[in-house]
Amino acid sequence: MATYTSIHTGANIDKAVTNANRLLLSGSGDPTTSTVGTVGQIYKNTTSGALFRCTAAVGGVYTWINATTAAGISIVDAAGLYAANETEAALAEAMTKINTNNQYKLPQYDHARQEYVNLDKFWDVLRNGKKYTTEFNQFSVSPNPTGTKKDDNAGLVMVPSTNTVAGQDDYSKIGLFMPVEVNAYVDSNDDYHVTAIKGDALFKRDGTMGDVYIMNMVGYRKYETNATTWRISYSDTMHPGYEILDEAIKPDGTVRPYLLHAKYIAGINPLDGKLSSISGVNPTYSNMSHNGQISQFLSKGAQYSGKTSHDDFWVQMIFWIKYATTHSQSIMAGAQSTYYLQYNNLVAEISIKRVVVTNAQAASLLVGSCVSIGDYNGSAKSTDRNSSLNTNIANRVKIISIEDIGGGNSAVNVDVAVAFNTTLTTTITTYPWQSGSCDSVLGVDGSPTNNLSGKEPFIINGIEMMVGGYEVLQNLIIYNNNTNTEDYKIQIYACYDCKNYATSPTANYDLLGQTLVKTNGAWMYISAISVDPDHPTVMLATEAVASSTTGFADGIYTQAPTTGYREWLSLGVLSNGAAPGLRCLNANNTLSNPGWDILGRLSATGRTIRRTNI
Amino acid sequence: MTRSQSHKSYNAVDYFWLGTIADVFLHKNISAETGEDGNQYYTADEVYLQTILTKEYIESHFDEVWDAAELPKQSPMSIEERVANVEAQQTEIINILSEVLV
Repeated sequence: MATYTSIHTGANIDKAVTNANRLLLSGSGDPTTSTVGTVGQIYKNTTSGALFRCTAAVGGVYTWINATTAAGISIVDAAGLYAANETEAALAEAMTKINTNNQYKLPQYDHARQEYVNLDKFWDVLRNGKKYTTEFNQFSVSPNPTGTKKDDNAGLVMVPSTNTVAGQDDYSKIGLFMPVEVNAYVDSNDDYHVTAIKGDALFKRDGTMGDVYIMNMVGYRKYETNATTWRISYSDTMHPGYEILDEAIKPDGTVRPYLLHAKYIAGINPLDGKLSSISGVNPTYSNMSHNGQISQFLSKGAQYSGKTSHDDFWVQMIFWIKYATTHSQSIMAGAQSTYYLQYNNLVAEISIKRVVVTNAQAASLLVGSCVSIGDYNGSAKSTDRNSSLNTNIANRVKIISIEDIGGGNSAVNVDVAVAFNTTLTTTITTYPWQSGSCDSVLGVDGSPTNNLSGKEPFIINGIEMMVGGYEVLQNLIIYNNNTNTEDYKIQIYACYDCKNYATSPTANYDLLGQTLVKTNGAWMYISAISVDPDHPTVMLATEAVASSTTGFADGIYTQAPTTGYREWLSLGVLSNGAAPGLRCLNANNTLSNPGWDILGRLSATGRTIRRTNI
Repeated sequence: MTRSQSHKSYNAVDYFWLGTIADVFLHKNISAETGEDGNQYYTADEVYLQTILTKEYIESHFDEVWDAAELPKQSPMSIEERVANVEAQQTEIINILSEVLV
């Protein structure tokens, strides 16, 4: 073993290692030059509430600076929080307020429990009582998807980022919109537990610390509609007419201290073989129908669900507030039909990890995206992503580079362990992106290279979405009811207890009072939605006379008269034209229908209040 | 300009008066196509503008309004820029009046 020289001396080396594992040191007095710490570490005087930061450790002498008075001290660094620079400023401001009241409430890590505690208090100090509203015209007044920001939302600007350009984020200083990336789990009593926060020494996106969620403050929403306008409001305070988000209320009526939403599309965690929310894995597509997901997520624990209407509503509401448009693709397009590509290999090669295409074709492919490589020799070529002919060489692998090899051709290099051979019947075909594709975006909203390319996923409030496949809403069942042929209805059943999800509606499901618009087996574009007061997170498309650029600008497909249950497929896929977007709904598939494009998302909101029980 | 798609065909001018201003959608190059599901749908080039022009005027000056709507949107002027503009116009008017009245 090599000789190691430490800045610490003697027994202080062991002590420094021990202390370094603590997020926050504390003592009843101020730290001294013999208080062992690591540079950057924070110390709290529990008597005065003052914070100190270790700025030097030399020869057994430790320098501590009063963090509440010294310039340039990062409170966020101390807390180990995930935040953009402006969020850091907001937290620092909050800390000033807290220290004024001598009520220090940064997230505290409890080593005995191996989780953060007092997170409710952390969020409480970030509340400001403001109301954030966006108002839209009813479609009959104007089909313009652009709304107007009202109340404290007026004048706030949000521009999504990319990997290289940070957009404008006027919301980063507002606690209500502040996403904190965490490792967390849900216990069998439906309580949330945060075990790591991005920036601390424990946090991991790779699954070794469990699932990755975005934590947010619990908020209050208000939805209003009249003949000419409709408006959505969100606040951190329960003003008159505002209601707490349903997802924050457990089935027993108690209120959760914060919100959790899975950051990533569901993929398998290699450590336990179960569906997860982690970075760097392919979206799971096998057995991911509505019915398949019931058993898939149940194996993780009865408290877990696939994506719910609560998760769907949360993202939609945040989008409406921040961007004041119902046309989500005009801000961030996601991976959709622009990236429904397949090319033939142009040069037969042996033992390589690449496919050769024309330069023009290569220019349409993105490094970091997911493709499959197959060979249809002896069969008909097909663009069907379910066909093994498209995956029989390499199934869902990442493009790691694209290089011009001359002669008008480029090599598309893929991330595979074992080299393969290619022929002139080899193809390269795009598939939904792997999770974590947006991990380098310089903000809480945005896409890797171009928000409007139509080729790549995006994050909204840190949540990665629209990877190129549908996300099943697990708590809803669509019922095509043609039992009375004179009155065909497309009804919705909702369930708010994932322990009781079923393959057809039971007594644990509620039938909503409103019905979906009938599009008679065609894609149409949503012009109006309706919200049942008993089911405020289920946004039903009730009219579809818009276009891909007006109204909600998203497609809906419901079936011609028939009777049977269908799964709620949200967001859209690589292959369905202009229809994708946050309100897109494909209601064409049976509850047991899986496919390359039918994906899921872990949810911590599977067990919540059931309003009809009140 | 964007390419829009709908199951309904498009009007050349869709006009929605909002009390003080109108939302206007202009369409051209309208075409009917058949989708993979066998259904017919329509696509069109579309520009959007807000204006106080009347629908009749827009219909009779379609190309002119289309071109104007396609011009790059200018950033709104700051208060300082607006004041400077007003002052410059005022000076110009005074100068003209001075020449006329002499």
